[in-house]
Amino acid sequence: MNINQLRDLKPWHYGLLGGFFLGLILLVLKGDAYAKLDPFPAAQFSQSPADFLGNQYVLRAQIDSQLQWDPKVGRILAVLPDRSPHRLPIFIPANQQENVLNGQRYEMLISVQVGGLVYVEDLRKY
Amino acid sequence: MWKIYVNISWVQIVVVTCAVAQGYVPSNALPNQSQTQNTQMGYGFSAPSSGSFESETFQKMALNAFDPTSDSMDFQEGSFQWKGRSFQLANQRVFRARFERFLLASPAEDVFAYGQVLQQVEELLSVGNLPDAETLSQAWNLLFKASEYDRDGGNASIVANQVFNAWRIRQEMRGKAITEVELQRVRSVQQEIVANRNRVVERLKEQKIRETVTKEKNAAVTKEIDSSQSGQEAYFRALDLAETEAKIALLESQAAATAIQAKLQFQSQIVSFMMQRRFHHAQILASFYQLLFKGSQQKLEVGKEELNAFIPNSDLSFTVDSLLFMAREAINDVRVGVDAVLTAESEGRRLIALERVQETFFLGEHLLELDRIPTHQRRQFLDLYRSMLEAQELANVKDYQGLREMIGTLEALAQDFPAGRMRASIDSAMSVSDMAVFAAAQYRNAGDIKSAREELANAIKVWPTNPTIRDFQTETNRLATASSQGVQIFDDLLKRGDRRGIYTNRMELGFSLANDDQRKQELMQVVDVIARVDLLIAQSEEMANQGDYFAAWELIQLAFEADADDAPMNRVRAKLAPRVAKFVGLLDRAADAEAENRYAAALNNYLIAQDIYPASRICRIGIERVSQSVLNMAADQMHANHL
Repeated sequence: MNINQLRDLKPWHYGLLGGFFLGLILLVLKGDAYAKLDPFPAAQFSQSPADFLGNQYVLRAQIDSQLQWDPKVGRILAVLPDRSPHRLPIFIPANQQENVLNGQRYEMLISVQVGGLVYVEDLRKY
Repeated sequence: MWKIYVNISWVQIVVVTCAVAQGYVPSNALPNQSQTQNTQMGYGFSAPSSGSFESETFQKMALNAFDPTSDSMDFQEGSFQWKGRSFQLANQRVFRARFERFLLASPAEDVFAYGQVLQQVEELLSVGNLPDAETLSQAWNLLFKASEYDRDGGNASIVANQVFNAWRIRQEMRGKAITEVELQRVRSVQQEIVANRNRVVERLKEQKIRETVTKEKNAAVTKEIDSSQSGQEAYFRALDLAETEAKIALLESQAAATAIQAKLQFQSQIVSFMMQRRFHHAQILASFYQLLFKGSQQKLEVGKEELNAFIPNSDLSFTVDSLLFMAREAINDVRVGVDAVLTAESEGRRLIALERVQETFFLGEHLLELDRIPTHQRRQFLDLYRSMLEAQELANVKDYQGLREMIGTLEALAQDFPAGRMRASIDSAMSVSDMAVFAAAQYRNAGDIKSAREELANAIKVWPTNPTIRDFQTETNRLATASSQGVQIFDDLLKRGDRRGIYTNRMELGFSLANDDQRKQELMQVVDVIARVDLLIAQSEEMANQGDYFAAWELIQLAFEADADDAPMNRVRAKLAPRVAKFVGLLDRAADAEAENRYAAALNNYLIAQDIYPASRICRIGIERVSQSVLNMAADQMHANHL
């Protein structure tokens, strides 16, 4: 493709390309969010949850069971974090539309909320 | 005392509460259960109503089993049956005394020699030996030898005297016979004299008639005088003849009377020996009789009433021969009986041997055959006999415990004693009585005094010496005494928080607080709690014994929640804690976090604790409860973020 050919593009072609690049940029930026966060220290968290309030982590865990569910609020799950012998309770808000099944492994972007609640802001299978 | 118990029906609820705590009855079923408890007790706790039947059955069985006497002995009728013949047995005490005297005695040393003498006499008199006067004399002399033995008791002398008496009478009769012959000769002479005188008188009368026709009246007068003189002489001769006739008749009647007297004396003595069961002497005397009296004199003229009683329902004509036969039969039967006793004893059938020895003893009490039973066997029979009589007495007074011991003694004495059957029967009767006492206690606790009395009466009837009856009475007295101090004790214990103390004294306190509705309710609650604690402690200890310490902890934790101050529970809890320290630490942290509304942290700890003990009931319930709280907390946060 040469310069002349670019000159022949229609304006909507430019809009389409801009949108493509914008999405690509957002995707890259998001991947960076998982990558730049520390792994969740499950063992230390169990000893003193209050020390981790307000922090964000990446949690890699396997779904164990669902403890509670409210369609308007979300669900409480028990997950087994990688390299941890004990399960951990997490909260997935209702706006996360992911189908969560027992035994599946997820990589989750979490934050520690008031009361030591592990709040899942984003998750994806891996 | 019983009036006190009329107002204590509520104690029934306490009992039911205990049952609930023990896990026998679901606690939510308590109200309905308590309403129907009385009815259920009527069926659930009551002893079988066949208590008296059980007792009577046992009594009949015991009377048979412990009766040492033979079936042929009827002490009510006072008779002993032997082959259709009936002997007078006297009463039981007299027979027992004689029998025990026999068992205590030892065979006499000279019994063999005495037996030989009797045997010689019997052989000499045997018809087969064709006894003559010399033989009779030998036998008669041996009788005096036999009478020298103590065992004879002088009866051989009686036989000898009877024989001698017969001989003496015979001698007298011979003398009278001579006299009678002489008199008969005199009578013959006198008869001739009388006849001659009569003929002379007749001739003189005829001569007088002829001379009357030819001669004068004066001459006639002279002849009448001569004629009257001849008539007087004839008259005196006739008197002499009559006197002689009278003497002869007297001699004949005396001889007949003497013969009858001798025969009757002989027969009476034979019958007497038979009645006394002195069969050897009866046999010897009967043999003498057969030889001394003619065959036509063998029919018995005396002792008919005694013989009819001896052989009832018989219309036989008794003779000396028949008595002789019976005597020999009895002697043989005693011999066979002793053989049977010795055989049974040698085969270990001592109970049978005891029955046979009684029959044999009574029939042959005076016979030598019984001396074949040795002294040591007699002592064993005596031990068994006395033990059975004692067992019979114990059975009569229903002393079952004593009877059980006595059965052991009888079993040791006689292998063929039916000990197992008797023990089973005793156990059955004792169980019936125990059940009746238990039912009485239940009725007492439930306030049903009438039924309690009936059950207690039934228990006493079946087994008067039942030790649980005394326990029942003691417990009843104790409850009645404690009821007067119960209110103060209850208040003190409750004030100190000593629920365990209240529970321990619940029965006494129950009677005391019968009319205090408020305290009664408090007592019921305490009893319910401690009974539950006890049940949980027991279950916890069982789990710990099985090595499941986490389950044991969870159970003891429930007990702790019921009464945290209970000492027995805390001891078990302290003993368990080191074994489940990490698990308990997590649960404690969870509880603390939940108390501070840090639900997420609490949920986290519960999950970790559940990972340690997945079957944990505490964790499951905690997770369900706290996860809901976490969800609520999240909802609040989301709501706050939106705002």
